[in-house]
Amino acid sequence: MPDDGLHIQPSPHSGGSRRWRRAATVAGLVALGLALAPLLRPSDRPGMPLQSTRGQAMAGTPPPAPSAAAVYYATPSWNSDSPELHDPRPAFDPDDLASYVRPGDPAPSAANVIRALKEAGIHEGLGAFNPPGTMPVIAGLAVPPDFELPPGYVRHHQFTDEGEPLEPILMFSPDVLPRGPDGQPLPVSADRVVPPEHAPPGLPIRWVGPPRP
Amino acid sequence: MKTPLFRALGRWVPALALAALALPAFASTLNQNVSWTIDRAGTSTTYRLVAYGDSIYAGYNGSVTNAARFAAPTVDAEYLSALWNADIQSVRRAKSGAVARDVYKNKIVAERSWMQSSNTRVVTFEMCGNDGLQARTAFKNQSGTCNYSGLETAVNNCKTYVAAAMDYINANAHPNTRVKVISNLYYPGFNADNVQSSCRDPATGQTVNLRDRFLPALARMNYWMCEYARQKGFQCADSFAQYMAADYDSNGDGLVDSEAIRYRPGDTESSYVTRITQTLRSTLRDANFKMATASSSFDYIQSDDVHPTYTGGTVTAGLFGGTTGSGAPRYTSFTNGRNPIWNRLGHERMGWALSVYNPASP
Repeated sequence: MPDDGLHIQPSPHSGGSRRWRRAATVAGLVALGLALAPLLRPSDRPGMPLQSTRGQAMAGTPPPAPSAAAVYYATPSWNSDSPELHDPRPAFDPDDLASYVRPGDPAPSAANVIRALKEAGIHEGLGAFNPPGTMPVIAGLAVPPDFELPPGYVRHHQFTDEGEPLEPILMFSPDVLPRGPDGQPLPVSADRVVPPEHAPPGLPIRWVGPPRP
Repeated sequence: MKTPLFRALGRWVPALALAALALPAFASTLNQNVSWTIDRAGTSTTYRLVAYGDSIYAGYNGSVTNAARFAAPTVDAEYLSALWNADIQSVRRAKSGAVARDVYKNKIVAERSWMQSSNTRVVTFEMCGNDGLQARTAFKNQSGTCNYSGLETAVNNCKTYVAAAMDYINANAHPNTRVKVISNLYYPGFNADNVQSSCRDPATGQTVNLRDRFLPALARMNYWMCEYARQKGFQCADSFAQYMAADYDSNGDGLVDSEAIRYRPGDTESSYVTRITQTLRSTLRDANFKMATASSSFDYIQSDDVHPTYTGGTVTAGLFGGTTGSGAPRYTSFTNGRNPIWNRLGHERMGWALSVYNPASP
């Protein structure tokens, strides 16, 4: 994971006076602010502008482009009739990360925010989240929409974190053991992904993987 | 000449001043508020659905700047729009990373005005997920002798604030509100937690299976969400049941698995927890592989192994503010009350589970 220079200095825990603990907490917040301010990695989400101005109308994200996976999904009639208007941020909330970022600042990735919190020993809030990619989409044999699967096989549908469908892949059923040509149960790996040699007869062998970053 | 450090410090002076007054701990949560109106053709009346919650209702999608447009409450709004032939404004007031107390205090109570509008018809909320996540993280990090008190505290806090939230909504939502719904919790990381702890049980001296410890705690949270709902005039969308078992009978008991694990009015805590953790335990599945039929499965969970999958694009929500917008419904016809993708993504499934309680008229 690229390091965008996000570091958080933990606030030193002091057994001194309340004034000293307050100052120490504030110092920690300053460190957090300094760490977030020079964020090096701009948001890489397509269609989402980096900067926003309060009250300025912004265009919505378009529907996903048609793909092989789209055949599985009815084309939605959704469209955005109106420009999206940004709600102003709520009044200062000390628990809200947004309170320490200003419009125009480079946007950090969630992965780096989560990592920075965890490295600072903060396991609350987003610090209790897993970063994206903890359980990535699975590669496997593509299953055409009109292919009839014999017992023991499953057509598994996946989606990107951006909400786009991927081509379904072939997996073994968790309930029924598939059998080979000799009538014997096929070996099932822990991830239940079907290898090409155990694909049902007639299935075109085409391996599909997650989209390139 | 000002140094870069001095300039940076100068930028943060206002934050310093406010932070000094507020005495906060480190900020770790993120308000992600979205108001999205389902704009149905040929209608002019707008009703409101208000949703309070954490990152689930926020539509968190692994970003700190945007969120899913069609998170579960907005999916429900789409169903409502067709049912009532009206525009439906789905107002999501959500704070990613917030524990139950935070959702109660800083969203439901502090932002009660959203549900006090005369056009409010539906109020829904969800909470407790972060109480669970934080207790889980803390337990995983334990060494030496296992201390289960953190799990117990999470369960008790959940009970406390779910009850408080329902009482508060009952007392403060506009009288025109027709339905109030809570969504309970699915189990994120069901497969990943099937590992042994680092700590050792004080009684046996052995490590413990994490999932075997977390599942009962989650079941108790979910029981009380639905039981309090029954007691306090709420409906309970059983998202645990929707996500965590197959939509067919895999164990031959004559019941569809996802129906069999639902909360039933009249359950005691013991009977419900026993059904989940023992009787029907073998039918539970990780929601990354939700079995819709015996030959098809859908990934209900994003790659962070925590949040539900979604479709329909994203909107700005997070570090740089939220979004108010509108758009035509994606779907206008529903066979048996279900859109064509009702069971294919996590947020679609949860939104459909909310929609079954929509009254026939506003």
